[in-house]
Amino acid sequence: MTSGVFPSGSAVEITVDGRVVAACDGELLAAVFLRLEDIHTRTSFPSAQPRAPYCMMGVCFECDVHVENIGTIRSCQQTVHAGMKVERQDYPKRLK
Amino acid sequence: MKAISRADLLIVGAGPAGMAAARRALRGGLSVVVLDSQSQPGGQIWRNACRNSTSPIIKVLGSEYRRGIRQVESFLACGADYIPDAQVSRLGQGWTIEYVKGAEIRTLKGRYLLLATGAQERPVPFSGWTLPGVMTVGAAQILLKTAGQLPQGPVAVVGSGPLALLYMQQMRLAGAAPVAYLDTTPRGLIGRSLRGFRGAMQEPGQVFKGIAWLPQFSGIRHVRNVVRVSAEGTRRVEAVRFESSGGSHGQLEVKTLLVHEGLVPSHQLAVSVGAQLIWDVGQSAFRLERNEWMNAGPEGLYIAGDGARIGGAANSEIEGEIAAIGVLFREGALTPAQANADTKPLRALHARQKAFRGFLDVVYPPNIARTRPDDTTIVCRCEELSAGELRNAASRGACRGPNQLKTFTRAGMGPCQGRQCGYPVHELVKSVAGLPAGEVGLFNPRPPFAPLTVSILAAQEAEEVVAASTHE
Ligand SMILES: Cc1cc2nc3c(=O)[nH]c(=O)nc-3n(C[C@H](O)[C@@H](O)[C@H](O)COP(=O)(O)OP(=O)(O)OC[C@H]3O[C@@H](n4cnc5c(N)ncnc54)[C@H](O)[C@@H]3O)c2cc1C
Ligand code: FES
Repeated sequence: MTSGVFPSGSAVEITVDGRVVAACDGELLAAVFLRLEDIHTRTSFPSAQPRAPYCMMGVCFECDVHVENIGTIRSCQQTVHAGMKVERQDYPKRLK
Repeated sequence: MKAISRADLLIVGAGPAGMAAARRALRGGLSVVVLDSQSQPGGQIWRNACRNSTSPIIKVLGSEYRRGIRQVESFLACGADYIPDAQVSRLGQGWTIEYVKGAEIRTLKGRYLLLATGAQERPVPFSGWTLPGVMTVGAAQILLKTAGQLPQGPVAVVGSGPLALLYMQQMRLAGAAPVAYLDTTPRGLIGRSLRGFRGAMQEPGQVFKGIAWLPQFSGIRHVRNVVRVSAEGTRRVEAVRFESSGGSHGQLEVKTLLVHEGLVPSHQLAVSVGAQLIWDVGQSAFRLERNEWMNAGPEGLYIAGDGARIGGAANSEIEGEIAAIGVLFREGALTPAQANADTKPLRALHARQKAFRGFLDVVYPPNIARTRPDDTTIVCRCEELSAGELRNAASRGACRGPNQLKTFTRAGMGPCQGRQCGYPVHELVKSVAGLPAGEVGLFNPRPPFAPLTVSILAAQEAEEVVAASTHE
């Protein structure tokens, strides 16, 4: 796993598909995924292929994930806060 | 019901163009609101500049980035009403901005609207570009600017253009150079670049900066004249295969493949309120029509910066300032003589920037060959449509434009609204129909431009119910 060369923000924990993951307060949620062993954020429809953050500037929607109490969002446009519960947007597991 | 805020001038985008315009308009006595989807001002080039100013990462990001700290600070001090984390969802004539902030939709009204929405990287479909681990160079750079993070290595970079060179330099300074640079810059550009040479010489500082990068790349494997690449892997990219124009092949194991083929303007908001797209041969992209004051046709609509035509950060600042002077002039806050005197030095700088960009456009053309993907390559990522399917549909339906192809195939109907497949589909329809680029348009942009989550819609519904009952 690659971590930040220059980590920003204080250490917090979030969950991804129920697993606890280390993150930095205020960083972009997509950055957390890009440090995981499995970097995928959603699967495509209809062929269910894995996709991961591609543009980091909100113009590809490959980084879509589901965040509790917020909804389905682009993880590159969302900052991290402690305790955030995140689920990958895997088809057909989730259709929101 | 929620109050609707008003200002003289509404600006979308707090990058170099939007910030420069805001400062100048305020000095002229206008009230200004600037909104931006990022949480900090600075735009793409100076993303997160203020927060990074005290971090060791500032050394890695370079001198042009450091210049941004001052620019962002002076913007924050200028007195504009700055609204971060705000995504424009819809624009209305006259002028209204509807935007999403948190779980709310809010509205702004103003007599003048300046769009300074910047650029995005040119999408280039190739086999395997949808695999996790394939990202744009700009994406990796955003990761560096916001999280001080490098993508998982080994990393290879494929493509062409100043941003790719700059990012590789930043990677090196951060202690993790890419394993290879697969350079798609076409052969023979030394000769061709002489055409742009005169222009470049007028902006020598910038050219020398470009040349000064080169020796820094010793140690990075540099494969020249790359004409074809594919990303290989099952659940993520595991290798990149490449072919150079001489016919030699190669393969490298990677965990990340970064791609960059230059920039195209983010024109969607402007086109939705009547700005006209014009094919710009030198940039192989559409630019937006404007007059000498950056007015885009409709009364009160102005466009500045890379969102209109790619010109770089310094050019964007100049255009932002000219647009603000244009607004002040229109408003009667400046006499024609004052407006002309104020813009005279700016116009001289603008002409030099344009000449310099002409040079870059010649040296780093988008490698169009790679935007003609083979039949199995996915072009529309959202709807998973391949180049073959789209070509078939285009020729069967005798398509003359992307909007027609959209109704046949759903290309461009997914959540990205054609921001990724727009240019590739334009190219594909153009080559199937055999029409000139300017005649084949792009997808018509349609609001809402920001995705509306269930919670936002629920909040809006509740609000309408409240509003209706208080009305009685
Ligand atoms: C990913 C990326 C990285 C880049 N990095 C560099 C670099 O390091 N060095 C360099 O010289 N050039 C860089 N550029 C080139 C860049 O275009 C600069 O030339 C410069 O930032 C352009 O200034 P601008 O003000 O026109 O637009 P930008 O700086 O792009 O600013 C536009 C702003 O508008 C906001 N915006 C856009 N649409 C909306 C909307 N619908 N709602 C709300 N806000 C919106 C964006 O969030 C952004 O902050 C980069 C470009 C990209 C795409
Ligand atoms: S990575 Fe492209 S929208 Fe988030």
